[in-house]
Amino acid sequence: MTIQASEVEEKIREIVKPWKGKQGSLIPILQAIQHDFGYLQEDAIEILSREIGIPTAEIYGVGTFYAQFHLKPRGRHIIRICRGTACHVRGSLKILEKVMDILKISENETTEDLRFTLEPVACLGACGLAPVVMVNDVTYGRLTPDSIQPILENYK
Amino acid sequence: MKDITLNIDGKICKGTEGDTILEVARSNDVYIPTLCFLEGLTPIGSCRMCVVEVENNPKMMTACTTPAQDGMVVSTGTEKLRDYRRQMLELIFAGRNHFCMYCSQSGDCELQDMAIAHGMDRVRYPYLYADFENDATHRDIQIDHNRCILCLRCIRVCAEKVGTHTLDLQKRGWNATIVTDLGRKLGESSTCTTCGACAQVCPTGTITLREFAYRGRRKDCDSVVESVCPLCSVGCRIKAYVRTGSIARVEGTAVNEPDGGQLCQKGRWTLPRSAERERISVPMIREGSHYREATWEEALDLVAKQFRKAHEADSDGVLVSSLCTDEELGLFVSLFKDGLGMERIDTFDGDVLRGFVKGFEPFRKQGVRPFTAAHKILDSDCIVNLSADPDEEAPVIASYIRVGVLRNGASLVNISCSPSPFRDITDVDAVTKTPAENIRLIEGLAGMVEALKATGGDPEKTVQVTAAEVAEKAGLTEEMVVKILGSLMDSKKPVFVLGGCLSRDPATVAASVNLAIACGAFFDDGIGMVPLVVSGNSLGTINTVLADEPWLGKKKLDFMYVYSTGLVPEDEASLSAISGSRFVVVQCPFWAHPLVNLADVLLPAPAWFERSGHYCTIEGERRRLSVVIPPKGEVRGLASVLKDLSKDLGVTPEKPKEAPCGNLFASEKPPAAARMVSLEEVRD
Ligand code: SF4
Ligand code: SF4
Ligand code: SF4
Ligand code: FES
Ligand code: FES
Repeated sequence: MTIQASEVEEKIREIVKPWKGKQGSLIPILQAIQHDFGYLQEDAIEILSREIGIPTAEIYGVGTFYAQFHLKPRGRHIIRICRGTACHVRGSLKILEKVMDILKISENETTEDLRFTLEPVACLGACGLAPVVMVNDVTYGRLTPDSIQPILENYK
Repeated sequence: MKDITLNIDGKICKGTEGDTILEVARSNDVYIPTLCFLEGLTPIGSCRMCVVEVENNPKMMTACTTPAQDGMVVSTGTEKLRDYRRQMLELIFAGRNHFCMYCSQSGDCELQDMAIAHGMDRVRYPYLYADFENDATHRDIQIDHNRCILCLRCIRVCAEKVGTHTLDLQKRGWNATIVTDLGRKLGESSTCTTCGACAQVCPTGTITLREFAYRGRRKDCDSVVESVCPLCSVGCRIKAYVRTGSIARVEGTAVNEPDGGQLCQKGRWTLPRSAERERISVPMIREGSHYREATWEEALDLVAKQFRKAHEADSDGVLVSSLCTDEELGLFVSLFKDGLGMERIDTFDGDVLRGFVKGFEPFRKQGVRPFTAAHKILDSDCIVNLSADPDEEAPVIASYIRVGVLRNGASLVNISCSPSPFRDITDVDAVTKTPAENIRLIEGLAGMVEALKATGGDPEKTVQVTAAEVAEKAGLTEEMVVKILGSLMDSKKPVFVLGGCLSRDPATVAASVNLAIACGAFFDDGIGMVPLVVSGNSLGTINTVLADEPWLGKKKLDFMYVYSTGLVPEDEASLSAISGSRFVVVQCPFWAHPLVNLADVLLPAPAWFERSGHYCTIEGERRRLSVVIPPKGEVRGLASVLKDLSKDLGVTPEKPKEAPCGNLFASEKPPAAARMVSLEEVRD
């Protein structure tokens, strides 16, 4: 445990170094931390707070304000299920329910094995293909509840 | 600063360039409604209640954030503005739970008042019925997020005045809520000091102090008495709300005072709670293992008899609390010192104060005030913590330090035998192994800073050589010493916070003042030292009852008279010396106190809220302790008890002298005139 903690500490120090003493550096620092750790983990924020003298509450506030930051670990694969109007009309709810059932998680949650994170999103801009699901960078269209399972199996 | 003139609602209003419209309006007695604004905190312009119209400007502007300009013509109460404000209020009411009949703050709520004043008789928007948490995890402080209007006053007071920055805002829009630390509940917070400032400034029923809820709305209280907190040397001003003869709540004064008008957890809770403690209401005489009630006459007769006998045998002593007022101390002096000619009179923790006096004496003799008002810490760019533990000793000073570092960008250096109590924000943490090394470090630093300043430059050589020596003597690395020097030399206005434990040793006190002088720590009222002494009136105690030489515990005494305010436990050394005396009289307001078990006669004493007089605070101000509730029953004021006692003793004491503390550390010369002194002068 202690070894791990000091590793985190070292990494944060490294990330912070070029920004020391500069104004408005919190967001790029948080981006860097998220890039390296996958999400903004608690001990990382605590160390960061000490390093740059910004209280933890303030960092937490910024972290929850911007949708780009995550305070919980995220899965290796991100499933974005479109809940826009076109997709809704064409049954996206059914697909969402099916995925929740397969993975045993609800919206905005991550599976215990950190394989998937499930995020409902507004229109993905591919309404012609409704209902639409994106897994990582790949878009799948014209889906039915039955066609979703084999797709997920491609992602380990 | 240029004077400017505005026309607000037809009234000619004078202001100064840099003022906001609201500031000009307020200083000219023009009312503009506000919710998120609170004088003393950074305005954020979020609630939009203060909107005004400015001629030739189509937009409505928030008066609390818009700078006033010369010649502006401003309207504050047009129909359009009133409509707009009402609309804002309706949105607030629709957004969360403001069903007032279920709220503990109903009738004591700025939002409710505002709605009534704006004739808001209905809400034209659909209610959101959002379901937020009612955080009840904290023992004393409750946060019902359902009633929050996101005015951010709590966040600002916690960050800008208390300095812990426990609270912040999470998420956005309708989902935004106040949050603690890393998304914790308040009861799980690692930074909250339970000072209650957030609740004091919250304009709604969101953050409340459970103990004060339902005990009386502020405006329904019978009286609000301004007084002073006796619990530490800062002596914060307080407001005590009284309802039906009991204390309903205690608050700090307004946040716009130079000292922030704060109150720490001690003042906020200990004071009102003490009003609930069980009182010693009649004189008591010990009979074997228990006490029996007695009349004042019988009790004082017995006291006088024992006192006289012991006095003739030169075996009597008097110990009084440093939480006494100047006036009370004056009474003790005139009876015991002047009237009876006693030498054995002292205060609790006398050794700390004796060391303090001795250490400061050479500087006092130079005619400079050897310390500065505590809130001047906020003006400093380098705060040096000398073995202090401010969060324990004087929590408001801990606030000044945190705010100084986090908001004003001051550096923080800790020089002490234990790690910095401000771990997360300390720049240099110099921990010596022994007090001897500690004083050598302070001495060495003073010498080096002086030398460096004298040569006026090139630090390289001198520093390299001497830094190594100082490091050697202090048992630190050379790098550490150079780091401290760097902070001190870079600073234009350093300030030194002197821990109470150091005051025992006059040489350390003098060495610290030397260091301050060497660093040019000069403030307009004195040298940049903030000593944390024991209690609210330690300074007043110094030239009244404080003994020149310690006598307590040196000899088993036949008689001791002890006066305690019962608010603090009193120090161990005094307690054990008292318990070794043959006959002990304790005058104390409360039953639950370690002294009570030691007494042969117990006399009731008035509690802090039943007394009046003055305190000499380290803020450098003489502040007034006022009677909040008059004493009840057999509790008598000190003057009348001592008068009877002196009659029984057969002495007629002189009228007490004018309370003397103000001129003890008066400043006759500017602080920059101070000279460093040789430590031999103060060493025994
Ligand atoms: S916070 Fe004020 S407005 Fe809201 S319910 Fe309580 S009393 Fe009413
Ligand atoms: S009680 Fe004091 S320290 Fe705690 S959150 Fe409120 S203002 Fe901040
Ligand atoms: S808790 Fe009170 S002070 Fe804090 S933002 Fe909400 S309403 Fe304002
Ligand atoms: S609504 Fe789903 S892609 Fe547009
Ligand atoms: S008081 Fe000005 S916007 Fe709130």
